[in-house]
Amino acid sequence: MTLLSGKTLTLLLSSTLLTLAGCGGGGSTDTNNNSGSSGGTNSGTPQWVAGVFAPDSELAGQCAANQTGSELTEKLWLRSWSNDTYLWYSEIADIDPVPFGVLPYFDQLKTQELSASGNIKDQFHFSMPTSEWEQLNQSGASVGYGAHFDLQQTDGNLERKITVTYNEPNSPASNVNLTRGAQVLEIDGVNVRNAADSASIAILNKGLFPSRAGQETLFKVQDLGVSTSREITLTAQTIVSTPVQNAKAILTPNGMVGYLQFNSHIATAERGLFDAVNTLNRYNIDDLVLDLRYNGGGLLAMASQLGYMIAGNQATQGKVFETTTFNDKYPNTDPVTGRALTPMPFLSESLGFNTGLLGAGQPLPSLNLSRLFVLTTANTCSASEALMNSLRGIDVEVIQIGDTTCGKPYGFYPTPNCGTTFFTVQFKGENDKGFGDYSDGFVPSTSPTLDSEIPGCSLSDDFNHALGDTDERLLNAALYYRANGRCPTIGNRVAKAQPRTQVIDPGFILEDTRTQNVLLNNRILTQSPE
Amino acid sequence: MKIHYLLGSLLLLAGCSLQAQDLRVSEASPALLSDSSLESQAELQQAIASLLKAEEVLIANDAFMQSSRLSLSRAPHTDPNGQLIMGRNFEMPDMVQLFIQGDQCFIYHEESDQYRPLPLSKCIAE
Repeated sequence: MTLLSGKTLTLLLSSTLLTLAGCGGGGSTDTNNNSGSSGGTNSGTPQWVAGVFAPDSELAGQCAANQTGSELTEKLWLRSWSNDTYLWYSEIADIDPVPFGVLPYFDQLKTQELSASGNIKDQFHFSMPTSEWEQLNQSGASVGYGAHFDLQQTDGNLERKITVTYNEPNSPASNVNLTRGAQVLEIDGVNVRNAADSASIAILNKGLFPSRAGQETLFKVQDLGVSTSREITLTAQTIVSTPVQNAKAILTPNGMVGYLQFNSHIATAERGLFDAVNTLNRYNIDDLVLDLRYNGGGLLAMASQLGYMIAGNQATQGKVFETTTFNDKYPNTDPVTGRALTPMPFLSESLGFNTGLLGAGQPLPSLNLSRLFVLTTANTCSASEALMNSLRGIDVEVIQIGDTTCGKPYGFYPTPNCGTTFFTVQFKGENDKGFGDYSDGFVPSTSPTLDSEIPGCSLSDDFNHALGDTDERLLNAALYYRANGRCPTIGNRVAKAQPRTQVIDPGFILEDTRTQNVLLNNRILTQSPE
Repeated sequence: MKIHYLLGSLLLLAGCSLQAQDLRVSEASPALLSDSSLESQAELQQAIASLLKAEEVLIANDAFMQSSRLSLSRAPHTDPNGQLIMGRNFEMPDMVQLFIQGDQCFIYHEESDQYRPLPLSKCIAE
């Protein structure tokens, strides 16, 4: 029997605290209630005055709903908070908030400028009800079938297509062998390709993204390499994902190559990575192909740990994994925590993200590699990009095979006010060399010239082979590049990564809105016949 | 304010404390669920939500069947492009642990030293 770190709960105190918490607690104080201040003047009534900003702390928690404030005070808080902490605060046009609602006004409080390549500079400006934001899940848990899908929109000559990208072990999907490459033809009788009205799209969305466990959905699917279709009924349940899969070694004429599929930087991955690296070490690998194609990031410290496990102690000692930089009002301190800015090192020990799997303070194993092959798509994002950037920052050779990554060197502190939690870009991550300008993504290139271009091959995802299959396009190209020092010849246009399209029609969208923010999105849609 | 807190606590104790047993971690054992029922799962989700002051908590059917400890993180909210909003996350997950004391199960949050009894759940020592 193990007891928790010697802590002893005293009966009365615990009972009192429990009772307070369980029965609604004792008194409270309104720490945000300031009087006599205003948005832009000292008149006592908050109002907008161009170029004059009251401290956001004087406007926080003054809400229209409970009559402690008004919509105007909420907007003035947003304005002051943005002016203080937004990374590009000087590019916000200071417009009168009065004509706007709170959320439309927040949408104005960002830069309208474009990136060097002409894309929207700030694509990461969100809000959601605080009650939704504060929902907690068992790490890695979500309601679904255990199948992950690629959603191809109807766009020009492209048909709507839903393809299984991978599945979770021991899930409803894997139990019926619904695996990578399978095409979803129908959902509850609605044809995926031909659905052209909002009611049909709603059925597709509901089927793809169940909101509750127990929901049964009928799928007609066509498995990879099979000409006939089959019908399967999947029952949604709470699935706990397995973020680290498929760790193995591939014997090549030029040595042993490790392969590792890493899908998400979540708590349960710490143990998975620890075990996977130990496994790869036993194979004494010469190179590693790290498959990050579906890894949208997560815990940044875990990316740092993986960087250490790849590069090893000697290469990372005394080096910066990532430095966080805020706007020029805060060159030395974090504006939210007030702490001095200190770079994140490469972490050489476990942190205990899930102490049920791996406790804190365990020395991490390392592969001591000086080169890394990374498989990417546009879904490779945030902490995954930080990993790539940080390794390049310490001169580990990174070779990128696949599509351009999402381009998110930014982050924020989710900040609640009046029942809504706001996300505005507040900081940027830079590697040991001070580089962090990859807002258009890391681009694989045969002739890189920019720092955001990485030697490698631009190729699209290959749903016709299993992940980890040496015939799978990206892994195959990585092995080819390793053997020949160049990309394989591409005879098929489809194999080359296609430029991203901007979808503009907000209607008829196939999308997962279960945990999405309130802004409209542009995922897969149909051309409306109306 | 302190007097108000104390008075409030005593009043609340009188109103509520008889409904719950008290956990002494030094005398309790880490535990696993011996039986996973919908009632037990709902009770756990409600208790954890109360402990962590969350509106809603989602756990798997087999939570606490293999380990007494459970890691909880914010739901993986995505942006309009389907990417994780918090793709660069500094927040450590919360850990809770299941305990048994006598024949009573408890869920315990070490960081806050708070616990909740689980009268509908059946546990065995880990």
